Amino acid sequence: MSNDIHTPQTSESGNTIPPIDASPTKEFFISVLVRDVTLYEAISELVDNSVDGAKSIRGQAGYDGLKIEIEFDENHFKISDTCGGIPAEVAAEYVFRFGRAVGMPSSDHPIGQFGVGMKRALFKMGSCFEVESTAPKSSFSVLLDVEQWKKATYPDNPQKEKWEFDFVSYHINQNNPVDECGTKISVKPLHEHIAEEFKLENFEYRLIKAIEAEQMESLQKGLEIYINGHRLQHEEATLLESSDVKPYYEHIDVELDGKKVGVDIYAGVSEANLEKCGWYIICNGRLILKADKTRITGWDEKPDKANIIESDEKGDSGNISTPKPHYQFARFRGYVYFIADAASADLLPWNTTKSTVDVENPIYQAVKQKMIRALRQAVDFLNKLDAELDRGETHLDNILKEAKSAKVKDIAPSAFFVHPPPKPAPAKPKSIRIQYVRPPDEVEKAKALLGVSTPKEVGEGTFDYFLEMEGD
Amino acid sequence: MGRPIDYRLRPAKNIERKMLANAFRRLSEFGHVEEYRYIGFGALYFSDFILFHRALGFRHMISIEREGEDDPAKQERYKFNSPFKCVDIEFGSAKSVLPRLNWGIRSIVWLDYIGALSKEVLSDVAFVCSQATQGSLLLISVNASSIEMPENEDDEEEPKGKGPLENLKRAVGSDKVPPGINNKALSGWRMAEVCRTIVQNEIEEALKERNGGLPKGSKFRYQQLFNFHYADGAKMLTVGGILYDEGQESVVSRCGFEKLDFYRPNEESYTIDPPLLTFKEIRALDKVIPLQGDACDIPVLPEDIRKYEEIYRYFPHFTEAEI
Repeated sequence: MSNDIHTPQTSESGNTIPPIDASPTKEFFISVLVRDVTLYEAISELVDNSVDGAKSIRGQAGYDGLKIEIEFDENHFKISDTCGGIPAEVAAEYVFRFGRAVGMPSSDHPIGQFGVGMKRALFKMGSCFEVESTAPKSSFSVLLDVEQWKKATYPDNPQKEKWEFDFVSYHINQNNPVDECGTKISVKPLHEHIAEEFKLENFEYRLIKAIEAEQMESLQKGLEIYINGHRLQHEEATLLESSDVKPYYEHIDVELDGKKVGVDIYAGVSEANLEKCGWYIICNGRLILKADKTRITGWDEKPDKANIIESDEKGDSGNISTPKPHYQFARFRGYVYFIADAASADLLPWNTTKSTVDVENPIYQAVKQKMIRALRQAVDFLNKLDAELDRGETHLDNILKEAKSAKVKDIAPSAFFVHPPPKPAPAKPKSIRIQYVRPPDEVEKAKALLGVSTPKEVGEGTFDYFLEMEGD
Repeated sequence: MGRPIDYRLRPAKNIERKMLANAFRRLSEFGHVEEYRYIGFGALYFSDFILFHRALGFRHMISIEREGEDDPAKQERYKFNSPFKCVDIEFGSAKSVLPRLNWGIRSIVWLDYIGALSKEVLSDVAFVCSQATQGSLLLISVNASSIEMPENEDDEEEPKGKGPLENLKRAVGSDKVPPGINNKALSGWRMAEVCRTIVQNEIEEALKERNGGLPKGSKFRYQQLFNFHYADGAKMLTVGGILYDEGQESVVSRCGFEKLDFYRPNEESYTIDPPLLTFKEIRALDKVIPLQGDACDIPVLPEDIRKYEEIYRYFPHFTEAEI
């Protein structure tokens, strides 16, 4: 049988034996690639690429004037940015490679660490995509029809799969003004199940919230991000601070095999909000974990001997284990920032889809011990606050009300979460809170009988009535 | 005879019930209406059960009652007050009762909550959408007052936030609230509009998930039929529609819901706003409406006459007794 042209085989009975189709490797590759990532993560990766572009052109300076616009419906998806564009030569050699080739240029503190993001996102979403980019010195456009690409082989060797694809346009040695530099990616048509997701308003709302959280830092630096016309909002990372209350803040530098990662850990209290409380983990400006209250960040862990704080004037925090998150901890906020330059970025404790922390990362494990210690200090305070409120005392609560929200970058280092001691419980408590529940129709009846309008007054009225009638 | 109707008797709710009874009749294109199973929250008075059984002949009715789940004496009271033999009372919250029902039966499900929209309401909505058989109707009624979001019974831990937007986010989860709205955008009846959107989104998402396992041609659709705003006291929203599989598009058309003047398939609402009239005025008006441009010497505001004309057929029959 010849090696270059496939001759159909014939079986003993004279029937043509079909050849073994070799092209499934591209199919297989695509299906394995896209399985790892959710649609949210895929879109996040495209946003991360744009943000990396912003970093490349602005460095540490702000992102004012830079924009990312995302639009989608059941027929198409589009993301366009004004973040500097991709040089045509980089596109040719690296960007469409499956994997990050050595030597690919990157921004100083890159988010796009793994190189596979854009391709994965596009294959996930649809069957045909177009990428157009204008960089300062070059511009290009690419159009990929995935079905055709899967079938592509070499004209002189139809057995061999062709993985390269061609530029539609390619220009170098240009001089493009900076405000025209950016990238536009569109996908059309979409896979059916993706189109079904894009039709849901709830999907749009969740995507907006997810990207608002992930890009919190970039949004704070002035980057404008729009999703279907909605401009993304951002909340500043803040902690309450006053002369009586000081958040915990520590900076550490971790070195491993000649590579370096800088870590800033902040912990303290803020307004009570169960959805927002917990730990926020940010790597190179990209939020990985939001409002986490799980074992990943050290909640509900047994105390470890190495972490027991000796009883000191700050309170007897030595005996508490970190709690399961219940309501009284709704004031807790912790922020951990990991920064690494391009050479050390592989040490950052994130997983490949940047959706959670890599808990086995040794740097994270070391940092987590400090996080647990800070959490327990804050929790000790919140327990005391809760106990005071139960007694009807508002001393600590008032102190918190007087404290101001300070942005984390303005917070001074402090080895402890500083807070005042609670007012000692008086021998006879000033008042005790009594709480109980009753069915609504009975409460209404009681309201009418007592001539009051709130449940609180019903409680007080019934108690007073009882004492008056039954007491001597 | 000159006294106005007592609004504690909830005339708007009464009108809404009768309008719905009218609408339910149109389901005959799907099968005999009396063979539908009716599921609702009858409470102690069972007003909807009484009306619907009398008007439509439902033989299979279930009232979900969360009171007295563990209290046999309370349960006895509810059973005693059950109006007909065909009304079964299931004790427990909707969340616990709905999953133990058999969903192979075409049903009309009216979850008439006292409280505001919440995560639990949304999960009940999603549950019904995931199970109901084609030709079923789902309606929910919630309190849509924006000034005070009433406390939901299960919410003992978290205190109320500041303002209606914060309350809404805590009640349903911030990822269900449309982005870009502020407290002003929730004033007056706008809270009801936002609640409708949130319910609509929940239904669409639940159906999308259900459809994942269904072949083309059998996928489920939802068509909103009702979007009532009314306020006997607090502002209330009733939103609902029909669940059907795409193969039955023509059956739904034949039902002709769009012929009902209170049919509302999208964000536009139908306000039930009965005018404040005396018994004597009502009796006089009944004899001369519809006016159709004729002069009317009954000294009632033209606006009120217009409002009355719109709903006179559904207007409650109250009687007054002199003692």
